[in-house]
Amino acid sequence: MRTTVVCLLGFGALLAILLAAGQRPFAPSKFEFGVFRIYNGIAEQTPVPSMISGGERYLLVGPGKRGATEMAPPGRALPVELQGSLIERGSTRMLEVLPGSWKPAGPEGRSTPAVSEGVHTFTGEIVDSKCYLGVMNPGEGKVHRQCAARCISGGVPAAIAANGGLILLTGPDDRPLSRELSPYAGERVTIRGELIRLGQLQILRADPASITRE
Amino acid sequence: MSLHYKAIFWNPVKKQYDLLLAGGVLLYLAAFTVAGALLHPAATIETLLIRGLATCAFLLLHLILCIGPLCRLNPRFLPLLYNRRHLGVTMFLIALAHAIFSIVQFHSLGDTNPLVSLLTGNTRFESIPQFPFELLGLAALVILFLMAATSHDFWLSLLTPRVWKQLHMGVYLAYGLLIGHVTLGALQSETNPLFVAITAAGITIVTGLHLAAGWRERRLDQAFDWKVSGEFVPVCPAAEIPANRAKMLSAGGERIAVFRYDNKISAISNVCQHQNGPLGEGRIVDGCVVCPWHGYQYLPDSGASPPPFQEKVATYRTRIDSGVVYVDPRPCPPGTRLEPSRIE
Repeated sequence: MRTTVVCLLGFGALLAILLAAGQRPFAPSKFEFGVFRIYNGIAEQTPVPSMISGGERYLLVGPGKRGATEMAPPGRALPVELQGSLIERGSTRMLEVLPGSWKPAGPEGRSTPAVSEGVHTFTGEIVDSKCYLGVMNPGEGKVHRQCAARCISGGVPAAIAANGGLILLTGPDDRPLSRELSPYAGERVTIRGELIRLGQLQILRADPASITRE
Repeated sequence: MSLHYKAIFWNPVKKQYDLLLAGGVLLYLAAFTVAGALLHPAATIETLLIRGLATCAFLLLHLILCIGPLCRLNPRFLPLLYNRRHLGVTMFLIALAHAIFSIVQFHSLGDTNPLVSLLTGNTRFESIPQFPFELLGLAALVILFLMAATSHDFWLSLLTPRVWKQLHMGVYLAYGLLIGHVTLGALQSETNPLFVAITAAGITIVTGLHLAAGWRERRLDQAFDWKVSGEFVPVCPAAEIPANRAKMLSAGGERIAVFRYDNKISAISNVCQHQNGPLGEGRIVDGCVVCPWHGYQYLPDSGASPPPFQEKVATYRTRIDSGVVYVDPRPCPPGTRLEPSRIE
């Protein structure tokens, strides 16, 4: 019996290592959980909440599964100081803003003009940008589906993971598509709209009626 | 066996069993999280814990399901069965931890109550690839909770062994639901065929062992299957029954254990009153038949547990003719004392 027990324990440990090793590779991403740094820059609410600080554009989201739309007055570019935790995947950066840390830091600034790149069609998975960029890893796939739905519903900018990149999604009038896109979270869809570029961010102004499940 | 109920009764063997179990679980979780963190530096600790707990509970469930048929096929595995309930409760607690971590991770801090989010977050019931696999896991967890909550002998006595056993057969439904939970969840996200292979191997082993054990018992039943006609039926020469052991036969669908001890022969029902354990696979120790599963004891001539215990099983009349043991397959009321047949 002693041999059986030792064999069972050894087999269990070996299987644990095998299963841990066999997991799908994790995306190289970063989330500085609990580390809040001060950022100064120009914040914009549309087309997606973001700020330019030190020459870099950061997407802005709230804590948990919340967006940052409630934190800043819409439609204006404002100099602000805020504290945030960095979320980063590839060249795309995001800040999880510490509630209450957002302070106006001067008169109204100048918004950055978005550059239109024409009408495009993308096929990929609907994800929430916060988890995809590193708060969850993996922040995509079937297992993450309900989390993505919750995040999108809570105001985190929806996006489509397509062609190895992330394209943020808004309505044709830059309205967030939380309600329309959350039922598609975690699913592969095809969506069409006007692609615009805002710094290093790609944003698709899409009509939600154009979405089709793959 | 006990007359009074204690919350949990630990003896040295159970303590050793539980220590090994806790050590095994911790070893598994440590191996999974450390290997995961070293081999996948980008993985978060929450993800590794959720996955480690899930795979640990699923593997334990396989082990639990294999113990029964393994013991039927080879008595060497009986010590694993002795404390199987603690194994079951441990498995439930690990599965519960997996569920709690997952709900916190995937459903909390949002715009909806996490439990409401879990129940309504995905309504694609019509699609197999998009099916809400989380609900299958939740249904399995409810079944496992009912089993863990009623695992104490108090509930066994209150519900009666038959109802208790039927309730605890729900483990097979829970297993089926968890296969769906894994297949429609993790296996759709993971790309490594290793996970499909291990899941398939688990299903094959559990199913194969149950079929093998069932096949063996069917063969035994067929070899000694008698219609209940009111007449004594031959069992075997008395010398073929090892001392303090039993030979089993089936009559009218009931299994009978015929014991030889102190140059005497007695027959009792093969079904232990505790958890339907196979008394015929037990031994006679200190004059009592001891159930191999949990050590419940019965006097071989009366089928009654020694005082102050109150369990009773049916007894059967025996006789010996020309050295051959015969049994009357009509059961006497549980606890009826019958004079043993003497081996000349």
